[in-house]
Amino acid sequence: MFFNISPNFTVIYNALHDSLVLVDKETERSLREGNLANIPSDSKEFKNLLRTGVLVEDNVDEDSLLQKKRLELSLSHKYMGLWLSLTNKCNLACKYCYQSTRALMEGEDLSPERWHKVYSYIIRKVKEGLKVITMTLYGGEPLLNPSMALRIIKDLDLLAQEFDVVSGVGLITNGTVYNDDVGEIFERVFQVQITIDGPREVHNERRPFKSGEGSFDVIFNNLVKIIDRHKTRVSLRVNVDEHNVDYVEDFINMLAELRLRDRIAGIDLSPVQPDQAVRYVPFKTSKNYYEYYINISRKIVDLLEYAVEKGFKIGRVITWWPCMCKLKQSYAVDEKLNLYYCPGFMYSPVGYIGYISQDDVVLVSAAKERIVTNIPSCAYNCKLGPVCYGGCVYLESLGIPVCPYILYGEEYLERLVRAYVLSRYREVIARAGDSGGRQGY
Amino acid sequence: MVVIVLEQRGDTKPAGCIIYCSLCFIYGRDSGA
Repeated sequence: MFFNISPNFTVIYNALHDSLVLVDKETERSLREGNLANIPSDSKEFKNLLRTGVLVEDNVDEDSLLQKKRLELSLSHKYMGLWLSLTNKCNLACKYCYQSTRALMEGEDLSPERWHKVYSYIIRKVKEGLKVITMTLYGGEPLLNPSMALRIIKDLDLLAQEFDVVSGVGLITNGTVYNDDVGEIFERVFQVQITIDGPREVHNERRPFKSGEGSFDVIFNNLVKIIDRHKTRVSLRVNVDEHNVDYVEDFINMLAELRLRDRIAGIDLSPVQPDQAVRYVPFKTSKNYYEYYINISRKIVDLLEYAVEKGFKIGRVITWWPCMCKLKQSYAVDEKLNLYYCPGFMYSPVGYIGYISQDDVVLVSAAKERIVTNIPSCAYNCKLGPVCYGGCVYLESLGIPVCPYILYGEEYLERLVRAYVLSRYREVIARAGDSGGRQGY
Repeated sequence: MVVIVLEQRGDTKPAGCIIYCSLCFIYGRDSGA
């Protein structure tokens, strides 16, 4: 896939090798025309194009190789990703919180006994070949159950020491809980995500404490302390819909003025999912959920470009790596050990697929297996197929068309990729331009 | 001629992203350096 980055440069993404390669326009032209006379086969540029899969032998069927690779990954015993709810209690009352619509939520903490079952399941999988485990601590507000958070982190560390396993624990928190009891948690997780929905008044309106009091000052003060005291990467998430979208630029400006751009790992702007909360409609100008989702997704691209302009990093937007729904051993797990496709479905009967019992997973239907193995036919005949693999299971359950062409169109998709590349490699690109086109890595 | 490899991720690092997912930050958006 080719993405235009600037008048002089293009970025090529190769899904089979998960590589991003910057080339100048002349090289792009040679590659598009299949005219390799300008790229000597003994040059390091040629070798790099070969290594990253941009150049392949004529008889290589890349589509088939990618399909095979993706299926092998989805069915692999080597990887496990769990989103684990430590409690469904929360001290905030966010207006759009999806928990208001979820029938299976009953107000409990994850108990040590239940964690022991999850841990036993993980150990059993390790003995069967599990090598990489990523655990996301989730809720509710997971830090309302801090002893369990620490226990999980310590247990997984011990597991990694005892067996040949790589483990990483991430934390999704609302940022309201930071004290001596949780300092070690922040020290030991590999990534933290904290959500702030805009400038003070906007955030306070959307994410107040249960008492009705605004949470902005508490969260912002905690954020600054956390990035001061811990080396852990902290990313900021802004949940965006038509009620706060016009204030996000102000918020980005505020973060820039406070010189936070080099201190936070990145900014992630995420659409509030349509229909996720009772008595909350995320749109005011769009006519329906479908129109809203497209509009807000595109406005987010505008805002991400703005954030990058201000020097912030943003997340990578394309990869061949399937989402957790498509990975056999990956689940969202609530505190009662019910299993769901992904956190989008947490506590929802629609996404309920089974439970953890003793040291094993019990699936109640073949739906998970179907989703893991079935790639819709459109993905095989589409330029974006390698990074789309048929789309988001959660959005599909809401009846929202998930095709990236519909969501972004080529223009917005290219802008998204360009923003990512610029957020990480602006200096590399500048140097390549300054070198007069003689630089090859 | 400019050919610069910006990224080439190995199979063992599930840190990439997909186009739609706004929920997942382990398998979803990798908002970090």
